[in-house]
Amino acid sequence: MRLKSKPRRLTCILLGVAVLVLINGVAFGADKVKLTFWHHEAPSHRVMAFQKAIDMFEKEHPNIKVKQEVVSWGDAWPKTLSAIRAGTTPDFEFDIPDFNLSAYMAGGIIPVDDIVKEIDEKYGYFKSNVGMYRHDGHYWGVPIWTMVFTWLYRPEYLKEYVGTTDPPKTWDEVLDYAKKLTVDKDGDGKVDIYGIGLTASKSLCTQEFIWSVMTTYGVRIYDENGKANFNTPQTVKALETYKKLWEYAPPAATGWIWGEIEMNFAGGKIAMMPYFPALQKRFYDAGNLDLEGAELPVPGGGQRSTIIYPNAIMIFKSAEKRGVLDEVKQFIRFIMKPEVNAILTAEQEPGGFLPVTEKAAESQAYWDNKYISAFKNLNKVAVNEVKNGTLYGFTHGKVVNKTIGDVIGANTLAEVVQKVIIQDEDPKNAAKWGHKKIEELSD
Amino acid sequence: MNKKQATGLLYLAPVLILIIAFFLYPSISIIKTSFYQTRYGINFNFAGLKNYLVIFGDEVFHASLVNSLIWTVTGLILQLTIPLGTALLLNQRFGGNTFARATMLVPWITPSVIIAIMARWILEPELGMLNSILLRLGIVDDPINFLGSTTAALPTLIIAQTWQFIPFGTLLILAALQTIPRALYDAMKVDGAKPMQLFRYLIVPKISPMIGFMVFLAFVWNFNVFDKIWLTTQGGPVNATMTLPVLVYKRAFKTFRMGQSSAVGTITVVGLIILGIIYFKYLWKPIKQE
Amino acid sequence: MVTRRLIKRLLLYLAVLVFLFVCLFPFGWVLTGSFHSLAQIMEGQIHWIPKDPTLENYIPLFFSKMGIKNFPVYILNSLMIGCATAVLSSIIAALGGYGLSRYEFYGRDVLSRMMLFIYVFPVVLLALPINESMAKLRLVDSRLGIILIHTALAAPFCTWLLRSFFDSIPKAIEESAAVDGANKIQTLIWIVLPLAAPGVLTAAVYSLVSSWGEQMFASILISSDTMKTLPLGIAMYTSEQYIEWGQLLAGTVLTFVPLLLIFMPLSKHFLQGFMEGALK
Repeated sequence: MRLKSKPRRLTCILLGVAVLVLINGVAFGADKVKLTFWHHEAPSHRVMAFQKAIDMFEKEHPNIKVKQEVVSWGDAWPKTLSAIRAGTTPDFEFDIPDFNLSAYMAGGIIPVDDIVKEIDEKYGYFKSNVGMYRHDGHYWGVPIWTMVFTWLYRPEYLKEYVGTTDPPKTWDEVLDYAKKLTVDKDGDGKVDIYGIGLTASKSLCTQEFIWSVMTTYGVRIYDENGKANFNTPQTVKALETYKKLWEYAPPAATGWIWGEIEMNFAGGKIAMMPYFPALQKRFYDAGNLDLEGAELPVPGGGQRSTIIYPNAIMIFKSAEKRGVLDEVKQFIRFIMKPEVNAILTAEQEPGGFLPVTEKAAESQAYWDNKYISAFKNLNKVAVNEVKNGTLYGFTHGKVVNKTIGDVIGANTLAEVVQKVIIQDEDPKNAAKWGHKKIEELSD
Repeated sequence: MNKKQATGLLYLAPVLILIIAFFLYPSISIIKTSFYQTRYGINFNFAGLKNYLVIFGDEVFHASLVNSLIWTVTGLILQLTIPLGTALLLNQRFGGNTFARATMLVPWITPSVIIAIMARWILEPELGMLNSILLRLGIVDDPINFLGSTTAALPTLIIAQTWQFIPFGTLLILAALQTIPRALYDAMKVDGAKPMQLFRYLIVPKISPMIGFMVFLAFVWNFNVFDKIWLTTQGGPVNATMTLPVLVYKRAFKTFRMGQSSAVGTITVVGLIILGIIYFKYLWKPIKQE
Repeated sequence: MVTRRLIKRLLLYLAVLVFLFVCLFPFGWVLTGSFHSLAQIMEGQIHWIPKDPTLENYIPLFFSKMGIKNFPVYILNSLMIGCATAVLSSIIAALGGYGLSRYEFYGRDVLSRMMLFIYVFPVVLLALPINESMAKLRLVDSRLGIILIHTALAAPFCTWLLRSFFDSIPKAIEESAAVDGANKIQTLIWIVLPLAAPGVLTAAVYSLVSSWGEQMFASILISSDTMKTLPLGIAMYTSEQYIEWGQLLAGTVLTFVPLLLIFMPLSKHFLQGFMEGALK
């Protein structure tokens, strides 16, 4: 019988805990206006930067209370879509262009023309960035910061194995460098450093990598009228280049996404790669300054370009309904002040998040940041490249086809890469397949 | 219905309400959606069987169906045979017995998120631990790209899934084995039974109810796996690890085709119900009656 | 003869050890890894015994300066939601199991099987409609909403499990209680339930474990950081750029250890109960 009484006692304890749960969870009211927003920047230092900006704002606007809620990027789509359907959205949310389109298509957000115009007049938006949020005669997102790929490399490796610290300028030069940089240091028959870091996983990450190559070849997913325009010689050439580069990438990279790439680059396994210069914080914190960045290489006679990712705020219909639109705009106005914006760029993720207005890009607050000044040249390149960048499907100064969100969501570009790299298909067939897929998703 | 019957149903009311609210009602709404064309969950247009026709002609659906079958059947076979072996091996009294058994349950209670993180970290080809051991022992010459190659990804995940179930399966079979009195073994041995005969005429009949139960448990447990796949490969590389639950999720939340997603879901549920009826009609009963 | 038995014994222990090692080494590796510095983790320099063990990965999880990404809060939420689910679903399952066991009615066997069979529904699919219902009930972003869903996910299985327990309790005991003047509910609570205690405990533990690891519904329903459960908390360290590997490993350990602490003392009873339920 002893054995039976023990479970019984434990059951009682569980019951007690349950009662505690029910007592807990009493909400408290306040007469302040409360704003809630979602963002997707989970690392602790990013959350802290957000809180710093919020605290400053609340000090200046004591009648407004702002609450940040972190939704990881992986959960962002399902969660936002469910919230729109169920009517439980926050007041506003951070987004990227294709995500913004999804929220628009689901009927969740409102136009933001006035605030975009106001900020453009005051601080001067970089045009290529803001156009990605324009369609149907309106702006649907207010860009807050932007992201960009540069050609990251380890100068010490270049010096040792290539004999120069000048970065490669063309894709042909990259191949030459990569060959020299793929080395077996201890002669055990195993490669210790790979010339280049790439990926071919079925992920958004791969789509960023392939687009950084495609954009230098001038690939356009749609023509000006929004018709699929993917099966072109440019696409084929870009895929061929990717495939050639792949020879000097770690075979394991077929499964990598950001986390693994960063781990391997920081671990010294990779000499060069196109990537966000965000790694500078990690290098600096580890006391390693062997990191430099340049413009992305170009094809012989090609155009200088890169991938950019303006991050914007979209405002939900629920904010309008709740009558807090003015407060939301006050918050946006506040975080776009160059000195505050520097908190969300330089401080939140040095190199990762870049100014999206002229004034913010010139601001002392940005350049005084310890990381930004430690890798000054890299950051100058990055800030400058923001003007030259494009993003898949958003290449015509406005949105020409609203199904680009589906194309990216379905990992179409990543699948094209997988066909070429993993299944060893002819790039021509892969381009044709991608074109067909993009057409299919268009209706 | 007499009063006694009504009282019986009253006891069942809470659980039935939960089932209706959280399984039946949503399922009906899904079946309904499968006949509509909708993007992003708005503007529902009746589409008849169009979603089904699209799905039946979709190569990704074919791949997912095949993968789901491989995933479930291979998983099931491994998850029944290996525990049977280990259970027979461990079916003896030894010191630390209780502790060993308690510890063996640990993988089974591990949340999927944790399994996914461990898999990504330990199986990472360049810096991961498993590859560095394999390389050092000279078992492989080049690191195995566990999650990143079309050939290895599905088997890797099946093994991870099996790894999680084996200890629990072993314990279940062990328990069944221990219901067999020692005396019976001894009696059969005295009669000159060989190990194979012992297995065939004593062990198999005694543990078959448990095996029958495990078939069901492991089937359901395998088939519906979503997060372990999503958090490691997202169904890739190419479509190597794309199973039906992953496809349902992708269509709903990545390309926002709720109608198609619901059609896949409906096909799946109908298929499973048919399988379930067969199971309960022909497999469950005889086992229970023994 | 003695040496042969000894060798057999040793082989048995070896087999047990190998088996346990296979079951446990990933946990050990993550545990060890979590005490390495970020630099060592990033370079793949992990040793079974850390060279200079550090707590640097754990400290931010406990002492981050904001009410966000706060592991103690996640642990507390998981505990509350898990325990409430355990209690609620064992009560519901006890009632249901008793009804199935003691009353004859039309469709009883079908209902009994349904308790297991509903688990073939792909849960992924149910997320959207369930979220909409929860929104109508104003239960989005609340613990109660999650508790209800987790209960719905666990209770049918527990009902099925408890039915077998009740089946094995002779009806004569209840009848004698009825003679003493106890009504049905009194008999259930004071006579039958104590006899089925191992089963109830198993049901509770099963519900707790399944609630602890559930991520999908939690991620769609919960937004406030103060409400997040451990799987959501840990998911914040994965998936995108800038994975905080060190904190991720530490978080993994912290997600699992509380569950182990609760589960291990109960595992013997759990196993016994589970087995009895399955075998009957």
